[in-house]
Amino acid sequence: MSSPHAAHRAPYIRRFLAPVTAILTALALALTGCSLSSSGGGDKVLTVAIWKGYGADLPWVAQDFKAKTGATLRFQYIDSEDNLIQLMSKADGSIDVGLPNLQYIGRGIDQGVFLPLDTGRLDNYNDLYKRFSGLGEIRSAGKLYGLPWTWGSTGLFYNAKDFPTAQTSLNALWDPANKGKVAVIDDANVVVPITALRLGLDPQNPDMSKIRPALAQLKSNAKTIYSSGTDLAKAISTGTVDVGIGNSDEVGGIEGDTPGLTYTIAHEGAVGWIDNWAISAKSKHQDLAYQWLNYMTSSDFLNKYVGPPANQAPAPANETVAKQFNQSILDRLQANPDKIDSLVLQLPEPADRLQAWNDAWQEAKAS
Amino acid sequence: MTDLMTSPPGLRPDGTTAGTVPRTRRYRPGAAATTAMLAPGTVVLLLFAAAPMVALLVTGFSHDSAFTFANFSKVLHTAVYMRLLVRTLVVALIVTVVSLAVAWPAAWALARYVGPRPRQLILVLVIVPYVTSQLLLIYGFITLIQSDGPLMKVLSLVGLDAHSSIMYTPAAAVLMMIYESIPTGILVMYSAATQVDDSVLEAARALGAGRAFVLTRVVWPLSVNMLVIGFALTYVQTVGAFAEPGILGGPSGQLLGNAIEAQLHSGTDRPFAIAMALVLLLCSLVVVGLVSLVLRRTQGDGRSRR
Repeated sequence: MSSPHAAHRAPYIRRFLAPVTAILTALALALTGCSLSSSGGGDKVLTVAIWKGYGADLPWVAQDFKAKTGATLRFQYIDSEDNLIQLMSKADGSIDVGLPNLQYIGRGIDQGVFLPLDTGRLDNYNDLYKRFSGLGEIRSAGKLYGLPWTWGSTGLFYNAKDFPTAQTSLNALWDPANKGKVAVIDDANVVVPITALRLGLDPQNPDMSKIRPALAQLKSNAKTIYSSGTDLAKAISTGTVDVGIGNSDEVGGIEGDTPGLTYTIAHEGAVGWIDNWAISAKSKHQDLAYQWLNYMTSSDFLNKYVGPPANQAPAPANETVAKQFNQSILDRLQANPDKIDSLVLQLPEPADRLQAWNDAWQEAKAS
Repeated sequence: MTDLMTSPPGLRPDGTTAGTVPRTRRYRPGAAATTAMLAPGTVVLLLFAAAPMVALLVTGFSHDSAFTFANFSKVLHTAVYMRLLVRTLVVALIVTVVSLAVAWPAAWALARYVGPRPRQLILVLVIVPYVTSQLLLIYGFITLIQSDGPLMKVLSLVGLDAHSSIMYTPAAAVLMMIYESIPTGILVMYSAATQVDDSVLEAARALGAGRAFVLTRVVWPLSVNMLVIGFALTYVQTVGAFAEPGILGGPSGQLLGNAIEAQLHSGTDRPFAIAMALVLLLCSLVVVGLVSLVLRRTQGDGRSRR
């Protein structure tokens, strides 16, 4: 039984299949090409896992690094610290370096994701703040796994134009007089310790029964709960918020465009964080990875990075470099060493504690 | 009646067809050609829709490497997440109904009363939001509604305070989501409008049907199928929103999508975040199913009374 159209079917199929085959072949070749270009780059491609727009992917960085090493850079962007550890764990060495923060680096160390670092190959290791390079959280069994790169704080900011006196206390965030004028960062990992500092509780392990009502009060005082520096900048530039909780680097980047905007570490304290470069244990480009770590912590890179306020650079962990900055840059970066001791560092916490913080913040937001 | 007598069925006075196509002998490709046509789409769907869904189900039902309902139990037994779930389903319903209510008349007018050239231009303008970054749309909307922005300055002419704004309120997020949903509504309902044959409408009017009767007994039953599609597309797209409530909605505008995002971002319990997403997906499918059932029943009623 042949169809009436049988005579036409074969040419039809050929006509149809020809472009489909061509497209599939092109796709296969393109994929093969991608694969070849990544492996064909061999020793001269370094894959870096990092937050988008966080210094390492500035356009001139790739040019500088290529001029120094002949290598090209490829970036794998992350959307959370957990995401970084998972990506580097599953990449099986195809991601060479990553930037875990102090709170999460321990997970990667425990899972064997990171390479123990040879301090003899780290050119700038001895120039780092000893308080950072000596931290136990970047070590395991006496071996170093993370090279501190930048640090900063998340604390109080306010617009001096709207306050007759300098704000020095976290109480400003809860003050009913500021209701509808407060910006709060949408991160339980920050708002819970900040609330604990304001209440005089242990910021690493606060009594949550006291934290919850205070979080609800903070939320009711808030005008916006923001997730990105862009959203904060918008709220500040339009005069919608006068006071809030912000990252020192993000507020520092906005200060130039907003006269009166002031970041300060309140007398109760602020939350501190440190980002560290780590090399994948399975990296096939270890020499290049060490060169990257040396470049990222060098005076050459850091001076160019912190220069333009628009880069929203945090403070460098390289003390020798930081000492060479003039006072205005130190103020913008909040890189004054005397601030370091007043910070409550984000340290590794048990998962159930972080989940309790997250639940409490969600509860406050939904109230 | 003049048109009916002078124009062939389905042909508008301007010479364009209104959905009917002359019946011709249809070519039916063989099994190999049909398979070849279906294969690429099927492979893509399996790889990028079915496989991730299976992965999500596996993760959602796991806790400490064991199969468990614990993640779903926590979602269903935690008041805050249930409150956010209900709020999300209701907000998505409001957004969908309003956007379709705005889109349908516009689509009807576009299909029937606008000339071919302006129609093409308007359809291109409707499609523009699809090819524009969502964040760009949101920040453009902010510029419009922020205090001292263009909208507030215009409203200040009628006595409103130009320094005030709906920015950082749930209303801003809802408006933004309606704005984003209207193009989908217009495109789907435009397709519905072109499927209603002019001759059917003329016949109804010729038989003495009033406008209300034509709308409820002719247009509605013929449009319900596309209305269901429009509802499903808009509702499912809206129910998972997190950028709009996050950026525009202020402290009281958070939806379940924001809680899911925060949970994923915290990295403490990914299976719990996935359980929340699956519960949201299931509930939204139930809502879509119920609404389509109700809409299709009205279609049946309309047909039986004709």
